[in-house]
Amino acid sequence: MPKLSGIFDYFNGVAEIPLENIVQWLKSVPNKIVLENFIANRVLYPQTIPISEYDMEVDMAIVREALKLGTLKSLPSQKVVADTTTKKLYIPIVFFQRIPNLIQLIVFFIDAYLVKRHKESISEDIWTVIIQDVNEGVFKNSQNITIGTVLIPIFDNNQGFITLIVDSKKYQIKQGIVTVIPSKKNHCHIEFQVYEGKMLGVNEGAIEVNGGDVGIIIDARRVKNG
Amino acid sequence: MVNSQGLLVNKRIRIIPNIIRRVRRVLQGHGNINVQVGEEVNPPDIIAQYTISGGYRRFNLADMLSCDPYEAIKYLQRQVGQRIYKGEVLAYKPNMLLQGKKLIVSPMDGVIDFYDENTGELSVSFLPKTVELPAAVYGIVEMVDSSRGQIVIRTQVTDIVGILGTGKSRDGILEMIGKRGDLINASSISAKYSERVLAGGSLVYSDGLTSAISLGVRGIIVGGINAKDYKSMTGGVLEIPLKIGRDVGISVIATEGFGSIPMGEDVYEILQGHNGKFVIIDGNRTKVTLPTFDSNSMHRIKTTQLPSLAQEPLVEAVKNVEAVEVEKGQRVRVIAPPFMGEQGIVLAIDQRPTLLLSGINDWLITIETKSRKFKVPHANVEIIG
Repeated sequence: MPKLSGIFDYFNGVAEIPLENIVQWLKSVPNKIVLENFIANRVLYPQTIPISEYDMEVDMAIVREALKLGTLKSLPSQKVVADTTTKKLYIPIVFFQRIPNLIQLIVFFIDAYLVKRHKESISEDIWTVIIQDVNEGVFKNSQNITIGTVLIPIFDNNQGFITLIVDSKKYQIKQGIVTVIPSKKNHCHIEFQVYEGKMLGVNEGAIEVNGGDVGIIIDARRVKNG
Repeated sequence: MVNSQGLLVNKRIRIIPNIIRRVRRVLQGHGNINVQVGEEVNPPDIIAQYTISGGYRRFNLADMLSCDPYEAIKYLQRQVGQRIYKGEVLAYKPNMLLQGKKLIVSPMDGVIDFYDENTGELSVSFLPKTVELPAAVYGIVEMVDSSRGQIVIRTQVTDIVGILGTGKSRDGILEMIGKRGDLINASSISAKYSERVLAGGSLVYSDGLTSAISLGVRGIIVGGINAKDYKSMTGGVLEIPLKIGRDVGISVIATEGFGSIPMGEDVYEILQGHNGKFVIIDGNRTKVTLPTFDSNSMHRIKTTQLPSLAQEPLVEAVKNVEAVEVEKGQRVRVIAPPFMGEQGIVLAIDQRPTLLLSGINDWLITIETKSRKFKVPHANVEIIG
């Protein structure tokens, strides 16, 4: 049987990511030679997993930066990660298996694929997030599992906020943070109002989106021209 | 990783014992080959002789004699084109008014190449040296290539396959320079290791590598190397295996990975048993070849056929890693911290996964080493041997 691979096999040039890029995400700054060796060993033995919280923190920082640098390889049968036609964000299941903090993982993909890209239409304020089972055979009945939806309002300044009514509950989210509202419904009705900003080109409105194991993710970090 | 059969881990072949294959003995200069195809050879047999030039040295004779360049040649005790030997008087300037005598002794055996009367520079070439090339192995000569100065011998060897390496194929006498966990730096390497292949230790520092290169060490086999140093020897990128061979003047093989990782017991014991004997190290192929020194191997060498030389691939496709199911009783090595580099036997395999502090669920296996027992995630081991 072919040798086992791991998450770091799916990137090019992991060992060439500038150490400063990775260190910025770590709570404690490690010895740089030790960190460089740690990363190189992950490339050498990509199937290995972290045991400690700190090792997981380092792995997550590597994945985060590798995604941002655009070094993710194309996997067989994998769809484009950010499909602008269907407004779907596909996360290969290998990441889901390796990074158990799903919300953090989604934020990594948002940062890598949605934040800096040139927005071509207002409909790109909403993305369905899907875990794609790329030939792994983990999901029995479906190759893809919808786990939620990302909403990305755009604010005029850092004083803005958005209020949402989801499943009859009201939420207020300030500019600058990412929030998750749990909802497992396939079709989730949301009424929203954006103060000092817009979503889908309007200040208020109602939409139907997909829920899932994660739910509704509101990325309220964006400021116009920021 | 789990499949329908059980827990899968990679199995890595690190040692390939007693295989029949070909080794090349290469002349490092112009010379004569003494053997023919089909001839049996033993390790001490001289199969070729060749001449090597040692280069040259230059020094400013005028400065050394404290006189003008056009004057210094008067004090030279040999003419251009003549030989001079180490310790002989190269130049002598007698007592002068306000200056004492000056005596310059030759530091080497050589030939006076030229003297530049404008600059005062003297060039002395090292005397050519004749070197005898021993077979170094038991075997049968399969090919003699006089134009390229190569002799191919079919012989019996044990191959050690490392994890990463760099440097072309070199050979020499193996010298163990440390225990499995020692750190190798410049002070570990002395001039007596010139032309040797060194082995041992958990990490070789960059100053150790630099010192080894300048002292003419042929190769180093060690547990680990810092990623930064490896990248500096391989053109700045981490490429395993190397797609294009690199060479910085020494062959280096790490048997475990990056950083300080004690050399595996399996490899260390084999190398220790070969201490003081001839080895071939190929860093770009991460392979160490240990010829058998058992004269009884000759029968097997004679009776084993190999594919013809023309069919031999330029690059061997060594498939030494594949995924297999892990089972109790297998010998494994740990490939991630903690316990990275340790080797032991699988005592038990958990029936249910455990939630680790990292948040990942994995099946733990219990390993027993020579000194302790511990549990590690199955994803962090490889089967060996």
